[in-house]
Amino acid sequence: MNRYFYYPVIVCMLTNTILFIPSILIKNRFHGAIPAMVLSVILGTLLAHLFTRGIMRFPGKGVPEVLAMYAPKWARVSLLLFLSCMWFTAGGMVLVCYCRILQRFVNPDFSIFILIGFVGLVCAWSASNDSKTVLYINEIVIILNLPFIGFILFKALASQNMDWDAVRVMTHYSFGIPSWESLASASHIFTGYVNWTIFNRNFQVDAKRQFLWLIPLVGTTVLITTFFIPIGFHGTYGVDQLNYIWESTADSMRVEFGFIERVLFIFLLLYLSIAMIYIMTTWHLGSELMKSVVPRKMNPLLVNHARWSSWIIICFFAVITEISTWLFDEKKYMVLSSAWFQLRLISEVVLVVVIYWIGKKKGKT
Amino acid sequence: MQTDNLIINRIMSSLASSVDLETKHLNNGKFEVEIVYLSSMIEHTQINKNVSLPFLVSDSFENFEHAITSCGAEKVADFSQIASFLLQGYVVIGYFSDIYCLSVKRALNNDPEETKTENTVIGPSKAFAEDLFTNLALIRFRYKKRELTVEPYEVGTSSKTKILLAFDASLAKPSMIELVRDKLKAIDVDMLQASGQLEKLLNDTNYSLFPTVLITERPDRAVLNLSHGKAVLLIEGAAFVIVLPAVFFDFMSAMDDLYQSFWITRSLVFLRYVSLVITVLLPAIYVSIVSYNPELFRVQLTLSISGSRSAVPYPSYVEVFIMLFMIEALTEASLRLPKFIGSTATTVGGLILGQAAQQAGLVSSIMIIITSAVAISNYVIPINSMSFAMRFVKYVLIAFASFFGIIGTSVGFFLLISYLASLRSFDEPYLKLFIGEKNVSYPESEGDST
Repeated sequence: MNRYFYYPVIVCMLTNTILFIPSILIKNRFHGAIPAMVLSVILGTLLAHLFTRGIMRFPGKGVPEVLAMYAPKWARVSLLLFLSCMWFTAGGMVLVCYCRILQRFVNPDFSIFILIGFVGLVCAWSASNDSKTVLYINEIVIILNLPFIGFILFKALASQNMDWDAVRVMTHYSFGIPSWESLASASHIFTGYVNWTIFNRNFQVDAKRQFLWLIPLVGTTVLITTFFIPIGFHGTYGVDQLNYIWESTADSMRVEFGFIERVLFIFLLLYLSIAMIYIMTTWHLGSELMKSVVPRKMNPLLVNHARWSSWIIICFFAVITEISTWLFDEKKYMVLSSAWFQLRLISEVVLVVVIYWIGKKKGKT
Repeated sequence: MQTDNLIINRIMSSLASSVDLETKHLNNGKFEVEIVYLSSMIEHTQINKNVSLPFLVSDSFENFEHAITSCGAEKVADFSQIASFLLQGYVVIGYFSDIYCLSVKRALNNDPEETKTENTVIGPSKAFAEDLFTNLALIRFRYKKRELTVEPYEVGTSSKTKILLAFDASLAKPSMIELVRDKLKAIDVDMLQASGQLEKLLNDTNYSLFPTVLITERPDRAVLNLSHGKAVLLIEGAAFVIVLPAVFFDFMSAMDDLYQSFWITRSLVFLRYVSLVITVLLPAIYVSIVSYNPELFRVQLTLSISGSRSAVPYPSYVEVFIMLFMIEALTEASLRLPKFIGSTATTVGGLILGQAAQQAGLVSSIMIIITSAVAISNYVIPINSMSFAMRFVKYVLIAFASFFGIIGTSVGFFLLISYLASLRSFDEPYLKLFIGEKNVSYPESEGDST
């Protein structure tokens, strides 16, 4: 049992509200979102299980080292470069989306570019730490935040504005053909385990003693709440009028006797730290993957200046993220993130199959 | 003061002239010796007992030699070392070309005093003394385990300060001890006088903010840490010892935590962390609420804050900086002032200035409350070096809050956490939850067994 395994998984589940997952699901709510969610639970659990099975055969080794043993060089380099870009894109998307949310709901006067630069710089600095530190930060921030997130969920479920009839209506659409777009985005919730591609270097997992059954359990809860609570608050039809569904839902609640009356602010500040951990973790992984394809003769440089080399790689991608804010507006970003989810699902399946297959091959020999 | 002994003459000429350098020519009718010592460094009764008395009763130099070697004298072959022996409080005995050195050092400040910086309500109240071996005795007195290992080191080319490295060989990590040894040997400095200085010399980075070793004056804390597998550095002439490695939680724990009952200690620890959050975040939150997001708090609270600020003519961060500067100056002043004036300074500063500044409309009354809350909460942090570090951290957060409001505050707090987590104290992660500290102070059934 390695408790650090769960922190990236939990972060991945919690970031869904930032990455338009509720919007995509709710867009398809009458056209196969619920079957897609059910399917994503099964698929996510299966993939998590296979991946952990595969990677646990290589204690102390990350995916780059595993591939170096079994895969030809061109395949290894291209796969790792691709994965690295996927990870950087994930972090960059969350950064841009969340900064836009912050600008919209907290301070509309802020320049979005300066805000992204500021948050991105702090995340980049944290991401350039070593893997162990990144996981320690994960643990501390999550444990500080989880009670408040639980409080928001409780507040939502206990709220008088929550219309359970709307939720009951939605169950009528439980059957049907699952929509591919919904499946791709819903399965992102379960995808946190892939962070073990790098973290396996420092912390071992054991699939048999890892309580992997917790992943479908918690994941289902998160999916159900993220999908049904906005519907309960805004109604089955009204809900798709909103761009930022969860922010508006949080703004529909109030704490009558608290210091902070509007739940929206608690929500935004909590998810700011969740988003920052997500960005930090993904960028850390991206930079580690990127460093693993650097030619061998540059290795001493990377080892002696580990911090600086990650810092340079991450800052490069942070600048690209900043540029992408110029190029795409919010609507394009929503389309982009949906496309990214679909690409992610495919590449995740490929990665898991490869790792499981290599692990199996090693188990036989 | 010339004598017949050539070697003694050579030693004398190698030392600069000093009034406390004394040579004596002793003659008991059977043989003659020369003795040299620095009278300021030595205990005269010990010379009488260990040198003069055996000399008078001995009938030959051999007998005298037996007597002094049994008192701990050693024969010195390398004459160039004799001067440094003299400087460390040895008496040098010369008989033709045979030179003996005997330690008769006078102990200075070897009485343990009352604790000054880490007080407890109940619990041992004596601190370490300024004498190396008194301190070692205090540790041995509380830690009677065979595995207690003590290694001597010497640091400082001029001060030649003795340092003892004490650890429990069965508990301490060998890699950590090896690292400490290497670092101690690598220190290159002229003068070493205090524990804080040694802390800086042990530190790898020049620009450190948080203390990565714990400096304590409490023997019970030092011994508790020994039993957790940590190492203790005792420094000659310093009443504070260094405990390493030290992680963040060590600085937030008081020895009272072990001496009070279960729920009381748990709530006190909780109180301490709440105070930490207040002292670090409150000014930053004030700036971001007043200047950026007044809608964050409930309306009544916002109205009372802005009502009290109505007379204040400048933005919130100026107000915060003025008041925090005043309280920092007050803290610093009362630290240096003689005790009798100290209370006057706090009264003038705290009561009169605060009241007057609020009535003159220079700062809001809410700001006065915040300033005092920040200062009081800061004093709750049990270890001084950590509360100093936290005093600094809040300004960074205020700067973040002035530029980015509440977002800057929470991003800054995240940065603080990640900075703390990225630190290492002798390869031990500085901030990490569930550090798995050994439970040595409770029976297994009570409290945390982690």
